[in-house]
Amino acid sequence: MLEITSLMKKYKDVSAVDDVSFVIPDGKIGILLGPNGAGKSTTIKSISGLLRYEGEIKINGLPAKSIDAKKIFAYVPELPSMFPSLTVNEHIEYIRRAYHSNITDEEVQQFLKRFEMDDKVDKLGDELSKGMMQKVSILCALCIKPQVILFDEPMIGLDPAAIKELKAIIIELKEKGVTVLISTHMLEMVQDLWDILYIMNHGKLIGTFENTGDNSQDIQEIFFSITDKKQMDNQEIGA
Amino acid sequence: MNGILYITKRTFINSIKKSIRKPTFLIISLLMIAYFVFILTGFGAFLDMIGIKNAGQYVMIFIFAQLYFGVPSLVQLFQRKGIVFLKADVQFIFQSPVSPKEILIYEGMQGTIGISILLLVMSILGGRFFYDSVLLFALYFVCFLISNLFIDTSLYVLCFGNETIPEKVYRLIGRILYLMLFALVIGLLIQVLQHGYSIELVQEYIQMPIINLIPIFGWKIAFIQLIFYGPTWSNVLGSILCILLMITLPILAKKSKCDGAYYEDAEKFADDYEEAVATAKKTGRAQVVGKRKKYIQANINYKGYYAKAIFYRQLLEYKKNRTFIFTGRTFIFLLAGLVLNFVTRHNIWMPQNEFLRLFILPIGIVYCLTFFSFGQSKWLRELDSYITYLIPDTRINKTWNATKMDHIKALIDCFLLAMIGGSALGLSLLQIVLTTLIGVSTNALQLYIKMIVETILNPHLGDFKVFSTLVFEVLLVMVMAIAIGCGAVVGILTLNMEIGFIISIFVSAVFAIGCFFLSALAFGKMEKVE
Repeated sequence: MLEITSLMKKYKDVSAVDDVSFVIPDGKIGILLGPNGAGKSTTIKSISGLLRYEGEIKINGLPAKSIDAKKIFAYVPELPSMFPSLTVNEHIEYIRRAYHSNITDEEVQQFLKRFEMDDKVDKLGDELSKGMMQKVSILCALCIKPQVILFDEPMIGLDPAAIKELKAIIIELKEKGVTVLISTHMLEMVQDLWDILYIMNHGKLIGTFENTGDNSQDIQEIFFSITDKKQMDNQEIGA
Repeated sequence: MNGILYITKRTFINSIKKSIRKPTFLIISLLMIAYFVFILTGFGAFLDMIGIKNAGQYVMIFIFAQLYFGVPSLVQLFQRKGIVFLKADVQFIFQSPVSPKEILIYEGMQGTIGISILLLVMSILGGRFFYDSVLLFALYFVCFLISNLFIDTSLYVLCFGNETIPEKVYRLIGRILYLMLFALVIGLLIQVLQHGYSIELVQEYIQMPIINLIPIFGWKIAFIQLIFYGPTWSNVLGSILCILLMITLPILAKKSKCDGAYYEDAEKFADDYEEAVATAKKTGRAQVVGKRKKYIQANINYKGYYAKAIFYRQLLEYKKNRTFIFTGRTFIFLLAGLVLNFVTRHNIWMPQNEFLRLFILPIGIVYCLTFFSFGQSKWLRELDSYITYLIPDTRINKTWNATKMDHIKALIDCFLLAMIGGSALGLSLLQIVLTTLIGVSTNALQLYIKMIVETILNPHLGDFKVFSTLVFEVLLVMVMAIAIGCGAVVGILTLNMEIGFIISIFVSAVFAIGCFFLSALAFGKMEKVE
């Protein structure tokens, strides 16, 4: 479970995130949406412990910055970075050691095969294309066997086959009871994944929607209806 | 910590493996061995030259290093800039279940090892040249290693990982430390001006008790002085305080609050650092990490289309600079001109030979252009932009407009030096103008040869790219030698140096134009540029 309570982040006098609270239960996929500059990345980075913030973030009841929370948490950033002198295999091995992961060699091989990286395990970090780095980033996160996983624009740079595999893996994670939060602009890609929608704008959470499960809700319609409405409200206030 | 050690080990092994596979590895290794042997044999002569005759004087290097590298390093740690974390560190290490303190301890230990290797080399050299003090150097090295491990590693946690001391306080600490360093320099300068420079004077100065009482650095220096100069009340007290520091700092570091607040600054610094490295690689100019350039509002009236738009866009960019097209190089040329003017007007140095007076300026301009022209040009950035290739115009026009501003800047910089220096040297206006044109043609040569080397030669050099600077220098020197040689010959034959100058300008311009046409190939396809 991921719990965010009264999250606030200011850069000088500007509130990038202003009193954001939400909870994603176990086995649910949360989608964080918002226009550019809405505060999604700041929220994501705060959850992953990269920013100083006010408020409270808990991962399975544990404070997000605690070592115990980090053991069960994985984060896939928007712009992946590899160690230039480490191979794909060595990145995975590092993760296994750093997290004392119980993932087996067979499971690792399976993930590598699914992302078509099994023949690239000896490539160095600086020899990988952007798409390959993204795949390695995702692989490393999966090797942790996390209970909470955060994806920031995970599909950017991935080929269609990899996107299909990623979506399948996200569903598998959900079925295992893993809490998933995805921040993305690619609304059509997450149409068949989402359980809860969190829409942000101007640093605030302006809408939360639960999937009724009958495929009647269109993410794009929800998103545009709420953001257009807010823009109109703001214009009226301004006028 | 297991994971971090794994990364360090694998990075080291893979880097060695990668280097060994490159053909240039053997050549560079041989050069480094030769350089090291040269240092070993020549170092003694260097010490003699600067007047260092015994171990006590030699260790002044360690003392000054402690002050003038140690203090800024500490201030940097407080500002969370003293450790370079890569973006991969942010993604993988910061996220992993490792205590933020452990990460800093690890970085602190790596830093200590790095400095210790340097100190080991310096100690070995000291022992080699001052054999009677070998044991003292060995003792100092061991003491340094132990004290640094405890003190510096703790400071990494206490300063970089600090979450309790407000920013105002550590800024104040930094200012006080820098003020102290400045005061020490002024104090030494006053002593030198009063009593004249000698190595003994400097040695006496650094043994002042007040230096031993400076917290942390003074106490470390006290250790050095106790070992090499024998006990005095101040260095004994300082050494005791240093030992107390070795005990108390780790305790404070263990108890200090460090929950990873530094991750945010480290992540930002990692982004800025990688951007600065990438820009430095492209421009050949070192970048200040984290400093964003401030621009002023400016407008431009585009007076041309197609490739001319490149020139006007560059002009707009320069107009947004606070200093317009005047750069550090302009300042250096201005300073050089003023210095030359001053020394000749005050008869500090005035060549009596008219021939020599005429050549001082062109030689000075060529020297300044060679050493102070890094990163002046925007042509590489034009080649990085796909729009440059899509503009419907010829390669020649694109090359000319992308580099036109460089010639204007060279004209202004060279004229400044020529005018200010030349007027004192008694040169005529024609001679000043010709000297300026020599500078402009030299600058053009440098520019276009560099373009050829970077865009046409480099992609074919492969692993030998590392020698491209050498290729550039050799080509430039060759062409300049031909141009100056032709000018000198004609000048001597006609007994008219102005004609000699004109010939030199003509020859170097012909070469520059040839290189210009060759370098224009770079504006044909984007693929050529790395």
